[in-house]
Amino acid sequence: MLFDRHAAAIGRYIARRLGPDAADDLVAETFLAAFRRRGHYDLAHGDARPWLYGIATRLIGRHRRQEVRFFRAIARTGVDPAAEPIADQVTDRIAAQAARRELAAALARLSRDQRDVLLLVASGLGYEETALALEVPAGTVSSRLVRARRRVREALGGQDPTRPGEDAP
Amino acid sequence: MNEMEQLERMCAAVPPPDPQRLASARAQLITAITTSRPAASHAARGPWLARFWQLRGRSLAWAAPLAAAAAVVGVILGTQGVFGTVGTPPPGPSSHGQGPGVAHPVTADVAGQSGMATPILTATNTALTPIRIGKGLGAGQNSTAIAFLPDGKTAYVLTSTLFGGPGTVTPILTATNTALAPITVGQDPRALTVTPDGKTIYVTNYPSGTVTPIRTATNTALAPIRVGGNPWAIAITPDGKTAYVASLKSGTVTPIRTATSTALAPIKVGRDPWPIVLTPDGSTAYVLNGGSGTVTPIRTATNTALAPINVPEGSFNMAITPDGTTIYVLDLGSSQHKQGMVIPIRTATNTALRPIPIGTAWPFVITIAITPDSKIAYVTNAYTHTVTPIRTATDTALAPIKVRESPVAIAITPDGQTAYVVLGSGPSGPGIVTPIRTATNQTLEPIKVGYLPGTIAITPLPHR
Repeated sequence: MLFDRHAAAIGRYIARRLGPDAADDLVAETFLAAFRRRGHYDLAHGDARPWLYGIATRLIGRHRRQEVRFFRAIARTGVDPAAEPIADQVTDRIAAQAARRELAAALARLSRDQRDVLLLVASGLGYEETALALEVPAGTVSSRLVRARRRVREALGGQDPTRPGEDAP
Repeated sequence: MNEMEQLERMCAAVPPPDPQRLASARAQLITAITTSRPAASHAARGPWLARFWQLRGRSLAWAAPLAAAAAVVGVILGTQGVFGTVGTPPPGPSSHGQGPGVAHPVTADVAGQSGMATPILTATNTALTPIRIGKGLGAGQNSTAIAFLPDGKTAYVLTSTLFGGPGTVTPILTATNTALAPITVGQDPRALTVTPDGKTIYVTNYPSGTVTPIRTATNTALAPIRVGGNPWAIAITPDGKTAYVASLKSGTVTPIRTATSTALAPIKVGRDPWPIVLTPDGSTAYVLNGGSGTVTPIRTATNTALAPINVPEGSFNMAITPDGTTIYVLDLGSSQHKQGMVIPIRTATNTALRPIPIGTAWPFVITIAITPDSKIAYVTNAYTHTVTPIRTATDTALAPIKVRESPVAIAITPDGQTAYVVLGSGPSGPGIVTPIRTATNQTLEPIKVGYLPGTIAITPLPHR
C-alpha cells in the first residue's frame, strides 16, 4: 500500500532531478532502502511521505554529478527528458523553453543542500515535511530556501523571462 | 511568474512513471524482500541498478519499458506499516492460570506477510512446520493478529487483503497445526478479540464501521454490528458480557452487549481513540485518544466517561498490568523530540506519573508486553534495536537488551519465563524470533520464521 500510494510521486521527484531512466531504478531502491535500513515504520501514526522523500533525496545525493550533468544538458540543449513537451503557443513555448534552460542552469550551480530544499518544496512538500525529510530543523529549511531562491533569481538575471521587461517579485 | 512558481511548473511538468515500469519496480522489490539477499549497500547494486549504469551512456530519451519478468502485480506493503505492522493493540487481560497438566504444548505462533503461520514450540525453542494460511506479500496479504481460544485448541489468524479485498480469519487447529478454511470478514479488518468463554470472536472492520462476530463452534461469521466509524480496538469484560469498541472517526467507544450482539449508546471520548484496555475486575475501561493526547477512563457499570488523563502528544499505545494497578502508555515522541517514553498511570488514582525514557524512537515502532506476575514490562524499540525491561514496582528501566534487528512484536509465555521478540526486516531475509529468558534477561538463539513477520501470540493456560 505504501508503494502504491507513493511510488508515482517519488518516481516523478527522482525523474525531475536525475532523468526518467534513473527513476526506474531508484524508485525500487528507495523502497528497498526503506525496508532494509529502518525496519518497521509505524504508519498508523505518521505520514511516510517526508520519510520516503528523504530516502530518495539521499539516494539522489549519491548521484550528485549525474544530477548536475542532467541539468546542464537541459540548459545546453533545451531538451528536458523528464518533462512533457511544453504545449503552449509557439511564441510562449519559446519563452517558456528559454526559462526552463535558465532555471536548469541555475539549479546546476546551486549547492546540494539548496537544490534539495528548493526541489522538495517545489515538488509540493511543506516546510515542516521538508524539514522531516532532510532531518533538519524547519528554520534551516527556511534559511536555505531564502538563499537558494535568491541565487536562482540572480542566475535568472533578476528578471522574469516569461514576461520580458518585468522584474520578478 | 517568480522563480518558485517556475520551479513548481518544472516539477509539475514531469509525468508519473509508466504503470508498467512501476509494476516492474514493485515486482523487483517483492523479489528482493522475499529472497535471501544481503543488505543493499552502496557498493552492492542490485541488477536493476546495474541497468541504470548501462543506460547512463545512452541518450536521455525515454528508454523502452522494462520487461516485467514475473508480472507480479500485487500490492507490496502491509496496511499499517512499510513492510510489517504494528499489529493490534496489546491484548487485555488474558487467561493466566497456573493450572497443572497443560493439555497441549505451549506454542508461540508468528505470522506476517509470508502467508504462513510459524508455531514455535516454547519448551524447546524450535520452529515447527509452518502452516499455510494465505498467499502473503505477493497477493497483498498481511496477517496482523493472532488470538488463541482460552482452551488453546484453536488459534485464529487475522489477515487483511489490500486493494479492496475482504479480510479473513483463518482457524488453526493446534493439535495438528493445520489450517481450516478462512472465514470472510469485512475489508481492512484491524483487530480480533476472543470472549473469555471462547465462544465468540469479534473482528473490527475499519472502513465499514462494523464489528463481525464469529461463532467459534461452527467457525461462521454472523451479521455485522454497526458501531462508530473506523473501529479498531476491542476489549471484552472478564465476565464476557460487554465488548467495548473504540472508533477513531467518531471519537467514541461503543459498548456491545455480547449476549444479543446489540450495540448500546456510544460514549464520547477524545480524538482518534485507538487502544482500549480493561481492568481485570472489569470495572473500568481505559481508552487512549491519540489525537487528543489523553486517556479516558470509562466506568463500565454506568458506561460513562470520567475526566481524561493527560499524556504526551506522541502517545499511541498502552498495556495494563495483569494485576490492574498500572497502565503503561507508549509515547513515540515526535519529529521535534524523538525520545520514546513510557508513562505509567496508576489506575487507583487515575494519575500519570513521571515518564520513563526508552531511547530514540520516533518514527519507528515501539511495543510492550508485561509478565503475568505484573513485575516487568518489556518495551521494544525498533529504532535502537533494543528491548528495555521496566521494573514495575519502581517504574525504573533496567539495562536495555540488544537484539539483532528491528523488534516489531513481543509476547510472554503464561509461565512468565520467556519473552519472544519478533524481529522485522532482517538483512538475511527470513524473519527471526529472539527468545529472552526473563529471569536473567539473556537472549537465546534466534529462531527463523517466515519473512516479514509482524505479530505473535502464545497459547494461554486454561483457567483453574
